[in-house]
Amino acid sequence: MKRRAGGGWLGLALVCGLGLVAADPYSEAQQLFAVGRPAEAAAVLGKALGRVEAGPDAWFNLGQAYSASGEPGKALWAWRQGLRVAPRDGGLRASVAQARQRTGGLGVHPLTQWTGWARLEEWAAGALGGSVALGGWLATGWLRGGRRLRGVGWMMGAQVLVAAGWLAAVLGERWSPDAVVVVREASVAMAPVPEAKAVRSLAEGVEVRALRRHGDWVEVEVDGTRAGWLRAAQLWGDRR
Amino acid sequence: MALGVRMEVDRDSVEVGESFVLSLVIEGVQAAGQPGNLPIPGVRLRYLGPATQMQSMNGQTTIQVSHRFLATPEGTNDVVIPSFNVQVNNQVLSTQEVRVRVVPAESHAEPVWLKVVVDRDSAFVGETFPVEVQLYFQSVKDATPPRLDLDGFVMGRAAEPRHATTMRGNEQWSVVSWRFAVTASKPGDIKVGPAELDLTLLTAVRGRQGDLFDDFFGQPRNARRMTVKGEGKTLKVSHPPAAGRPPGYAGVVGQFQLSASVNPARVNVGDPVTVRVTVQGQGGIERMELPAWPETASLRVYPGTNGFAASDALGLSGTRTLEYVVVPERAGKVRLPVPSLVSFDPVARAYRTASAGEVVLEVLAGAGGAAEGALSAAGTPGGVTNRPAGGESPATAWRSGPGVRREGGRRWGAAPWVGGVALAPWLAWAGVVAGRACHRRWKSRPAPPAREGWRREVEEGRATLEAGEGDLAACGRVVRGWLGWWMDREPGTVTAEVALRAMAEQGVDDAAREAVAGWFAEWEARRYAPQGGEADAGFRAETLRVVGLLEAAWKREGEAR
Repeated sequence: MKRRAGGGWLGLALVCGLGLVAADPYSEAQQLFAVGRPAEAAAVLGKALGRVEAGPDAWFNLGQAYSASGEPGKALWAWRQGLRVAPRDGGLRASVAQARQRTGGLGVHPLTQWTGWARLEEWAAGALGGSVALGGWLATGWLRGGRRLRGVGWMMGAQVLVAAGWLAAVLGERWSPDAVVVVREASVAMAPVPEAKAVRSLAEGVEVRALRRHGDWVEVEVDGTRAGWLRAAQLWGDRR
Repeated sequence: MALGVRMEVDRDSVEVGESFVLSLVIEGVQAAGQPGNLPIPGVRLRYLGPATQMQSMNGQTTIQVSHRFLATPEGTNDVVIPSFNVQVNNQVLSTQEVRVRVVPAESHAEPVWLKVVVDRDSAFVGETFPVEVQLYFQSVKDATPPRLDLDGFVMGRAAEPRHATTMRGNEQWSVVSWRFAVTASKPGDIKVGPAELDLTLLTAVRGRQGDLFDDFFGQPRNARRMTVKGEGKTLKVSHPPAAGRPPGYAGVVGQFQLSASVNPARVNVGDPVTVRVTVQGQGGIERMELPAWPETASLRVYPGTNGFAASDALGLSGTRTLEYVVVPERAGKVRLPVPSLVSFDPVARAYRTASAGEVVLEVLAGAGGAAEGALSAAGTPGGVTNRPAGGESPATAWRSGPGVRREGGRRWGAAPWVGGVALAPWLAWAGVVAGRACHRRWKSRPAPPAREGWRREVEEGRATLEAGEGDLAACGRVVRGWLGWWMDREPGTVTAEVALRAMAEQGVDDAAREAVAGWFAEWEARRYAPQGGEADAGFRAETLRVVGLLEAAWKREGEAR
């Protein structure tokens, strides 16, 4: 009787385990991609990534799936999200660079070109660490009767550099494009009304910076110049 | 300081019968003896003397000695100044060969003229050559740069104008030369020029005898604003011959050499690497571009930064550097054929093909293994292909890493408090510095004026007296203190005479003066009495009354003012 009960538990565990494996969206997406169904792979992966803080590999795979599905705008958006998580990832960098080469966009703000090799959190951690170290150093000098400790000048310089890098990273991210056109061709309107005249069109994959939102419309800037208004559904914005 | 010698001329072309200045420049020495005879065939030389020049730039000082000669060509052939060996500080150094063109003489009777000098009669489309505009004058001012008609040519670099002097017959003339690089852009008989410029001509005043003041202030002159024109020269411009034209010729004319390098030559898949192609030679090299790189499946090539380092002022020769960013997509040894440069050599009148061979890159799978998939599987990441290209398995474009981030997902890097924390030590430091400065300032504040102290003592003394306390000294401090405050004088030095004189001068009324005189008499008597030092209630009251009178008088005086 006991043996029968034990076998039942084992069977139940196996069934649950198999079910879990089958339900793993990453594996499922990989299988779909492998059998040439990238659009479905992108849908599964996109749904899964909407629930968790995804890693660079997941974003890379999502971009690959979108790219293979013929959706370069969404692919670039996914790779951009990956770069925000892992800015030194070679594959993501190459993919984003090639996507930008294709659209002819300037990409990120010059400040981000300088600071983009590290995540914002890494810059912030450096600035905080430098701040704590400098504060401790100054406090030590103060506690020792106001004597100036050796190397405090170097420490101040280093802290200023790291803090300036953090500030540049913050401003660079703020001034960089933060959305991607995800439709084949997006008409840019002069005003946020359906009757407004179209002033230009943006190709899929063009990176824009959203300035403000008005209902279903978003005012955008392209390559540092105000372009006009786009339908919000035509854009995918960065996860803030 | 490095030693060096070179030969310089102040003009590139002279007319028959004109002279030019030849300088043998020796760098790195402060003095050098006069060189011996310079055997230059067909040139008459006259030694003008040495000149030493010292220059300091960016903290580096250079010094050079120039031995200058006045050179006059004796014939109509171009002058070739050969290379000479010069011994400097036990070293034998060589000068470079220099050429000066000798052009037919032109006769001019006018006081100023402009001349366009072109060193050839024909050119090829795409060929770059120098054009010189020379202004001859004896006395002018406010000359503008020349305007040159260059229809059919494209103007390139312009050199800084050069000023020289020359002897024409027995007269000395000044010559300013502007030099330009021009490129022929269409075939036909095309004229370089004419050229013109504006200037103010200065001529001596006619019919006026010189006087004593002319030696001091200079001879007066007439000034006339005018435009000077110089005829151009017609060139026969033709296309390079069609016969023997190799495929890939893109209109480049000149003599070039090609080389290429890559650094580092060992990279991971997906890592960008820079391939540098260097074009050296003569001709229109400054804006030269190479043909597109052949597409290969193993890598992608993107244009990078280009540069040009000119060897001469006009950029007719130099080194053009073209950079390409190459992203390898597959591991292994990658051979990258550098595009060849097909050009037409106008001297040899033949086509040449310059080649740099191929660049070999060793690509490792390394960290870019994922990138390999990224670039090779879909063909064009972000592209529009529905299916992975290249017949590869789509799985190669898929990473098997974790889907969820290992580190925390919250984005806190842009939070304002980070800036606050980064600023905190600075604010604390500034606070400490400011606090110390305030403390120092407080410690070193000036003491209150003594006069106010005297007044304070008077008030305190009055309070004591009003309370029925205080001895004779306290009574003295009150009255003498008040008088000292009033006269701005040390109270200890206030006596009855001093006080009464000051009160009389200030017009204080008699009642107050008499009260003060009486008080001093009483105070003195009590001080020197056998029981001295005592003050009874009556004297304390008298003291308060006197001070009251003084204050009333002082107030009246203030109101009167």
